[in-house]
This record gives sequence, structure tokens and C-alpha cells, in this order.
Amino acid sequence: MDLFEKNLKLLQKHDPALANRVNRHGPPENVRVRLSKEGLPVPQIAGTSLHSQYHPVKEAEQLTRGFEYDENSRTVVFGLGFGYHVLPLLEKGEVTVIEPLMTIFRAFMSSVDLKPFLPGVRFRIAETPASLLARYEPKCWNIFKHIPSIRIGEAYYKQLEKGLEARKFISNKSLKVLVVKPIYGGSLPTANYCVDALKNLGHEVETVDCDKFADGFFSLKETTKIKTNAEFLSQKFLNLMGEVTAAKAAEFRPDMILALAQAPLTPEAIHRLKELDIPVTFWFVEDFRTLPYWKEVASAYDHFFTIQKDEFHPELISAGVKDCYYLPQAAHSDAHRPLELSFEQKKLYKADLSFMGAAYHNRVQSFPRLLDMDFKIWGTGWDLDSPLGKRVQNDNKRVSTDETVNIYNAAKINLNLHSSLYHYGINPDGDFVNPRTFEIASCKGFQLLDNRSDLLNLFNVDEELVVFNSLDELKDQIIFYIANPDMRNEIANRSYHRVLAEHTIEHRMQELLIHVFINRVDSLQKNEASRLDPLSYFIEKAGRDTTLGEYLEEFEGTKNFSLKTLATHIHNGEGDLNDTETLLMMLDQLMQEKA
Amino acid sequence: MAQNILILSLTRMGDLIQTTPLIQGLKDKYPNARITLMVSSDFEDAVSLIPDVDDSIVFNLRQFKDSDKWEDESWVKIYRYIESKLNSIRNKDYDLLVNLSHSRFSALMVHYLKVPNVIGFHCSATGDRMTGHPWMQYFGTEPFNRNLNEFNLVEIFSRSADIDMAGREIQVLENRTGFSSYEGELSSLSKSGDDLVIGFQIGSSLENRRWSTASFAKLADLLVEKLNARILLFGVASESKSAAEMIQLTNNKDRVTDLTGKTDLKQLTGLLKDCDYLVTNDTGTMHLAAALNTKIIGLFFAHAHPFETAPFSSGHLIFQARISCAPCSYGVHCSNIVCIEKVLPEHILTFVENHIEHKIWQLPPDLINASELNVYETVTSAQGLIRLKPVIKHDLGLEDMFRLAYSVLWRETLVEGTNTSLKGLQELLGEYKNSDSITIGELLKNKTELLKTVEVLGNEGVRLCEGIVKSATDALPVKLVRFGEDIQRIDEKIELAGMTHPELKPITDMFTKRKENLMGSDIIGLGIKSRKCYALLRNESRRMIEILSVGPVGIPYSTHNSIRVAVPGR
Repeated sequence: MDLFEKNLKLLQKHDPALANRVNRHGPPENVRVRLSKEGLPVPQIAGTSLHSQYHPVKEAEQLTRGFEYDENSRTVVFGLGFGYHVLPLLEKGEVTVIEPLMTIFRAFMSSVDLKPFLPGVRFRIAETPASLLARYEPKCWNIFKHIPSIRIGEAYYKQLEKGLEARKFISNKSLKVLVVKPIYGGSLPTANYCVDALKNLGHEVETVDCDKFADGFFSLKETTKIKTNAEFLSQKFLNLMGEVTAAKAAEFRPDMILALAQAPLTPEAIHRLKELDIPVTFWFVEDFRTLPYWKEVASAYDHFFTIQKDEFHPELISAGVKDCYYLPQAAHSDAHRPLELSFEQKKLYKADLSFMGAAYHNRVQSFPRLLDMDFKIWGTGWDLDSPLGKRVQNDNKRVSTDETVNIYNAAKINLNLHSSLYHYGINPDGDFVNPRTFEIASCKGFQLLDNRSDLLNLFNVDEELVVFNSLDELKDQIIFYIANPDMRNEIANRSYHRVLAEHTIEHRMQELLIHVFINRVDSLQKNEASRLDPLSYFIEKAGRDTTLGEYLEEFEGTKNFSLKTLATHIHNGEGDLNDTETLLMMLDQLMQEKA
Repeated sequence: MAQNILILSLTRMGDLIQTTPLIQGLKDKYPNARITLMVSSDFEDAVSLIPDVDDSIVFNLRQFKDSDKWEDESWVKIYRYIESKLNSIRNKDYDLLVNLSHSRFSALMVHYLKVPNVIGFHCSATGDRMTGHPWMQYFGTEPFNRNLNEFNLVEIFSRSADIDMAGREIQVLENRTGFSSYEGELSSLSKSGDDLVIGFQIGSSLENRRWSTASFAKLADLLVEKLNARILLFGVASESKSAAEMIQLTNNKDRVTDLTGKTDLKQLTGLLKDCDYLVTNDTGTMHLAAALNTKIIGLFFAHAHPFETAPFSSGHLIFQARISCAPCSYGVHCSNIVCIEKVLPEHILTFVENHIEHKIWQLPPDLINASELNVYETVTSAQGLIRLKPVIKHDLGLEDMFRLAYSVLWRETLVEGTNTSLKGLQELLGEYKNSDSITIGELLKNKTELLKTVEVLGNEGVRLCEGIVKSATDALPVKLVRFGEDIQRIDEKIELAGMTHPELKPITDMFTKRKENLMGSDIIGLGIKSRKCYALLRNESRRMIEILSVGPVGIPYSTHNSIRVAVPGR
């Protein structure tokens, strides 16, 4: 077994996703490995040696001597090289190493013994700055820069530093985000979770509630059977929604617009929104093969976020998309959480095996083989007269989020079979991971799910999640895990903590924002300066040393401050009106008359 | 004795002119007082028309209207303007303030100014709405009981300052220029002694209140062809389009002069004075012309209600549609405006012809049975008060009966020491006619029974308040709570009586309005004041029964009743 395989085996125990990635990467062709005077390997890339060709260890000690360790921050090393500088830092505490080039890591894995580095070092190789800052390393960073590595990956590290600045700005300031929701569909809850998450992150959010126009939309669809006319009406409706969004944006003046899955915006509407000179973004949370509408709209957006990448991103780039970014689904931990169910709830929802979802083709085909089990189904679209239908608990009626959470909590095993319109069971080419995966985990529920290629990047399979590759395997697993509750609970617990650490909607929104604003911090700062917090503006206008100014100062910290805030406060107050309050109430009356 | 009086009149020109009897009355009452009039900048020029005004203050919010955004970016600027303005007013030590607006804005302004004596809307120290004078309280209930109101707003305003209304009419200072000194476009205007010059005010602030341009055009043609009249069109610049439309429709364009947007107030005053008649919608121009003794033919459509805003001087003619939905309530958006079609140009022509010949308004024979038309003449009553006298005699309706009865009641109860002879009421009832239908007496009997119920409730309220006072004095909290609950039940019944029987609503609304003024935490004091409110309710109900008993037995009841009929557009 050569050094690479030995290292790989070790890495698989600690970071299977990274092990998988480095293993798929071919031998490093552009990295030359030279031996130093001491006989230690030293990488050379593009003519640059990343360590001393004489005494790399001594050099590393000298470089790291002045580094001040901060126990409140994570030590983050910019640049791996062959890790000589990392080991002295590791003596003081855990370290994260950020290296943009997988080829360097591959060369490292082939040349250096990994054992001294694990488990104290987290290797973050070829990760985007936004994912590093939002998901993997959200704590404060105490940075050590390996200068030779910085020279090689200059652009990357510059972005990383910009990302740090953006993260700092976003964390300290409240951005204004306008979220455009879809009219209907399974992605509508995701839109609502995004709104909540952005608010939880401290940002000001307004929504374009296209779902409120759903009745009109469906009525329009039923108006005519003549296809061209129907399309015409549909287009008019979309135009209207574009105008609604533009009107909302003109009033709210957001820093960013985020549209989600099937939000009814035409390319023309998107271009109009871009006249506001703010980023207009889209999170496409569907399967690009099943819903191809992205072809018409994707290139209009400034940033197009997707839950798939390997096959999807090349197509997007071909379609003219300026920036596409992989952003997987997640759980909304406020909604999806472990619960203590009541006796009645347990009675209603308890089952050995539960499935909550729609009656897609592959589910209808594969679930009958599970009918010899205590198997309950919730969801919509099921044939209630079929044998499967008799297991449907909710008469095909819509299941609320609260009920869904009860289902996940109550089941011994949650079955999570990704949908397919034409496979009989599992889609062997399935790439993206559905939100249910994260939601069940967020409820600390145990699940069995079909294997997906992206899963490895998101969870430690077998440790945090159990997957099946065939329906026979599924049945064996069901029997096994029903008989082993402790194992179920351990796995569920690990997946729960993983979701909370990296896979909540808050993580995704933070990552999205950092990615969008990484090159826009200047304009954000400019906007902020020109758009002073309204209250600060009024206090400045009134004069801090005046009676009015002093009165207004009492409202410092109030969000969404306006004259109405004052009027409501006075109206709800007690005691006699003073002069300031009387004048403000008069003003309020004038505003009402004007309105 | 007031020495320094401030009058807030932040409304329109017509309302300003309607305050002239009040101002005159204040001057009579306080001959040494200095009277200042606060007006909005839009009507700053109109102050020069108002007699007995020593000074004026212009409140200019118009400066903020178009140039800046109000919200957010400049409300501090507006705040500073109001603060500075009101502080300068405070320094002038007014001792009496009369607020003629019923807006909350004006009430807050009154509160800020802290003038020791106030007539009209104001608010308490905690910002709750209050109306001091009984006539201002009545003013607060009137919009909700318009069909049962007989009083012109002039009378209400003036009585709120305890001004004796007998013999008072609106008037203006005739600070005008004569025809001969007109310049520019007006220089061609002239009038010799025999010329018949008739003014038309074809616009109005509210679109629905306007007689159609086609009707005005038709009338113009009739007046020109039959009477050789010259027609002058008055109005502001924004009404020029309507004026052009009207001229387009006339056949006698050379006899019609469009003066819309071309006259200032002085010129307008002069021209109106020189008109023999003014045919007008309910507008400020109407009041100005009336004050100049120009004969008015007033057209009241949509929300306009002649009982409220007819010109407050005698000798004018008023037209109004007599249909179920007239006058319509404020806030109604009519989708089928029929009222303007009920007044025909031919009607007006005949009246004018007769007036020119006989110097009186004479009902033409073809209008005697005009069931969908009200025609009134403004006359001076025996008591010296301006009122509307029906020219067309219609069947007496229940609403008519109650309206007339309330005019007696309120003049008695809201003005202390007034006794009204019910003989006058009987004479007024003679302005309505008989016909074969259900007698009004039966309906009155039914309503009288309901009034007795309200009287009983008032009495019950008196008793409960006496109980509250006693319980509070004897410190009996449990009894107090029970009395409080009982009082609430009584109040709900009183309110219900008014809601379910609109004829009773003026009385129940006045009761509510009086109670609104009761503030504070002194239970005994509140109990005593509340007792007074219930006593007034009881007494007014009782008196109303007496007044209604005067109603002529055997006068048939007409089925016309605008209260409950569903009509287009409502």
C-alpha cells in the first residue's frame, strides 16, 4: 500500500467527503515534488517552491514563532503546501487549513504522512469562500498566511478576504431583502423558510406574496382551452406579477432581491428590477431535468443558485448564466425540531415505517413491497382505493408543516425515497438531496434514504445517514434498524447535530449573501451611508439638542421606524400629551389626510 | 369678557363666508374684542371679504405639498413649521378660541394653543376628543342624521358661540372693482341698466355635485333666446375644460363669456354683484353671491344638502332631486347618477321668467305635482331665522315630521332659556299636503311609544347614576361594579334604540356625544355629570313626544322614505 492509499484510508475515517474528492482527482501533474537538503519533500508549482528547499521544518518554526494563538477564534491557515508550517501551529490548538488547489492536496497526500495532522487539522480544500465562511468555519478566524501559497492562489485568497469583510458587514448590519415567492407548489415552504431565516440573521425582509394571487392564476388557466389564448393570458399574468414586484421593490428599496423556484418573473421583469442597481438572485430548488423553465430565465439573473452542479452548471454556463453557485437544500430548524409528542399524537402518528410525500411513480411502484410492515403514508396524489391507498392516513389532503414534524418525530423509521417520474424504484443517477433529508434529521428522526451522489458532500454516510442502493437492501435495513433502536437513535442524533452545524436555512442564506456581496461590500457601504437608519436621519434633522431630537432618541433601536411608530406609541401611551406629542399627532393626522 | 378672539377656519371659501354671522355676533357680544381669523393659504385672499376681522393668520401647508415628499424626508420640516407657527400664536394671548372645524387636526391644534376658553372641537389633556358647547356636540352628530337636520351650518356655528341668530345673514365686504375698470380680457365686459346678466357656476369641488354641462348649455340657450340674457361662466382654471365643453354645446356662443380661471377674488366679487342671478352648484361662489344679494338658483346634487348649506340669506331658490337616495352619504360612490337629471333647464327658465316679472319665486303650474323634485325658497321665519320653505307642496313624510320636530327640540334644549311656541310648528306643517294613504298619526304613535322607551331608559340611567354616587360616597365597591354593569346595559339599549329606529338616532347620538366628554377618575363627579346626561335624554325624549303630539292627526303618511330603500350606487 503506497502512502497515498494509506493516507486515504485514514482520511476516510475523519473526512469521507474529502477522501472521496481527492480520490477522484487524478495524480497531480502540475506539482513537482523535490527533496530538500534534509530529504523532506517540497512541492514546486509554476516554478515556485512552497517551502525552503534546504530546511523546511526550521523555516516553518521561524515563520510560526510570532503567531499569537486566540482561544476565542479558530486558527485558520491560508495555504497548505506540504504542511510544515501547520504542525507547529497544531501544537497550540486545532487548525483549519484552507487550500484552493486540490492538486496540491493530492500531492500532499501522496508525499506526506497524514497521521500527525489528524484529527486536529480540518482540511478545507477547493471550497468556495462563501461556503467556508457561512457553513464550515463560521466562527471568527485567527489567520496565518503561508505566503508562498498566497502567491500561487492570490486571486482565491483575495476573494477569501473580501468574503471575510462581507461576512463582517452582513453580520453587523441589517440588509434589506425582497423575497419573491412562487405562486404555488412544493417550493413555497422553502421560500417561507428563507424569509424566516433572513429575519433570524437580523435582516429586514419584505415579500412579494405571489401565492396570494394563486386563485386568480388558476382561474385564468381555466378561462380558455385555446392554447394560444391561454398562453397569452398566462403571459399577461406574469407581466402583472413583474409589475407587482417592481412596485414593491421601488417602495422597499432593497439591497437584494431573491426569487425562488417558479417565482413568476419574466426576463423582462428581471431586467427592470436590475435598473435598481441591486443584485437580483434566484435559488432554483428543483430538479433541472424535470422543470426546464430555468432555460428561459436563468441568464437574466445576476446570481443563479442551484441544488445540483455537475451536469447542471455546464448547461447554465452554456445558456449564458453569469454566475451559478451550488447551494443545497436545508432544514428550517425553527419548524423542524425534535418534539415530545402527547399520547394522542403518538397514537395518531406512530409507526414502524412512515412516508410523508406525494405519490410519484417510483413510490407507487416500490412501496407495495413494504405492505407487510407497519407502514403509514401521508401526502397527496395517492390512489385511495388501491392497497397502498389504505395506508394513506390523511385522505390525500394537504399536510401542514406541524403535522409533518409530528410524523417525522413519531416514526421509528422515516422512509425517504427521492421522487422519480419514470424509475421503478431508485434513480441510480440521482444527484441532488431533497429537503426532506435535512428536515427529518433536524427533527432528530431516523431515516433510510436512497443514495444520491451529493450526499457524501453533505453527510457522513453510515455514520450520520443510512442509505440503500436497492429496494432489497432497503427492506433488510428496515428489519435491522427496527430491531436496533439504540443504533437508530445514535445515527439520528449525529445527523441532527450535523444539520444544526451546517445545514440549516440560516446557513444557506448566510452563504448566499456572502457570495452575492463578496464583491459588493463597497456599494453596500455606500448605500448604507446614503441610507441612514431613518431614525438617525430624523434625529439629525431635528437636532440632537432639541426637544424633538431628545424625544426621538428614546426610540433608538426601533426597527422600521417611521412617523407611524411615533403616532402608535403616543396613542398607546398614558397621561397628558405634551407639546411634542401634540405636534406629532397633528402631523400624523396630516399624513392620514394626505393618504 | 373676551378681548382677544381667535377663530380657526381652516376650510374653504364658502365655509369662511358662512362664518360671517358668527363673527358679527361675536363683535356685537364683545365690542372691544380684537378678532383674528386663521385660514389656510388657499383662501388667504378671502379674508379681505370678511367683515369685523381685525387680523388674520395664514396657515400654509400648501408649501409642502408638491415640492418635497411628505413622508420620511421632510416631516421634520413640517413639524418645525407647525411648531413655530403655533408658538407665535401662543404668544399673542388669545382668551377665546372658536374652532369651526371638526377635524382631529384642529382639535389637537386647539389643545396645543392652550387658549383659556374654547368653543368647538378640542381634545382633553390626554388627546381624547371633546366638544364643549352643546351646539358643537350637535354638529358632531349631524353628519350621521342629515335627513333629520333642519339647521344650516351657519346657525350651528353661530349658536355654538351663543350668538342670537335672529335677523342675521351672511355678508361680505364689497371691496370690489366695477365693470369699468376691468383690464385685459375683462375690459370688453360692460353692463347697461336693462341687460340681464346671469352667472353660471358650472363646476364644484366634488364632481358628482355638478349639473351636467349639457343642462347648463340648454339653460343658457333658453335664457338667451327667451330673455336675451348674457351668460358669464365663473370658476377656477381647472373648470375651464367643463366651461369649454358647455360653450361647445350651446347655440348662442356669442352670448356666453368664459371667465373660468380669469378672475381674482376682487373681480369675481364685482362681477357677481353685477349679475342678476347666479345659477350655481353648491359652491363657495354661491355663498359669495348670496352675501352680495345676488339672487341664487342653487342646485344641490349628490351629497350636497340644502338644509345644511343653502345660502344663508333670504330670497334664493334651491333645487334638489326628491328621490330615495338624495342626499347621498359621504363616501358613497354612485354608479348611476340620476339626481342631476331631475332638474330640467325648463324648470329654471320658468322660475326666472316669473321672478323677473313678479319679483317673487312663483311655482309654475306644471311643477305642482313634480313628485321627484324639491324646490325651496330661503326665507326668514317669524323668529328671524333663515329657513327653507318648500315651494312644491309634497306629502308630509315621517322624516319631514321628525325634522321639523327636532328643529323645535334642539333650539329649546341646546340654547338655555328658549321656549318655542308649537303653534309655529303647526304652521310649518301646513307647508305639506294631504293625500289618500296611511295616516301619519299611526306611525307617530308607534314612534312615540319608542320614545317613551328611551325616556324610561333615561330615567333608569338617572337612578343608576344616583346609586353610583351614593355607593362611591359610602365606599361600596361591590355595588359600584354592579351599577357599572347596569349602566353599560342601559347604554347598549339606548344605542340600539337609535340604531334600529333612525328617527330616534339624533337623540341617542346626542346622549352619546355628551357622555364622550366625561373624563377622569373621580367617580362621584362622573356620576353627577352622567346623571345629567341621562336626565337630558329623558327630558328630550319626553319633550319630543309633546312636540310630535302637535302633529296634525289625519295628515296622510307618504311612503317616501329614503332611509331604507336600496338604490343604485349605494
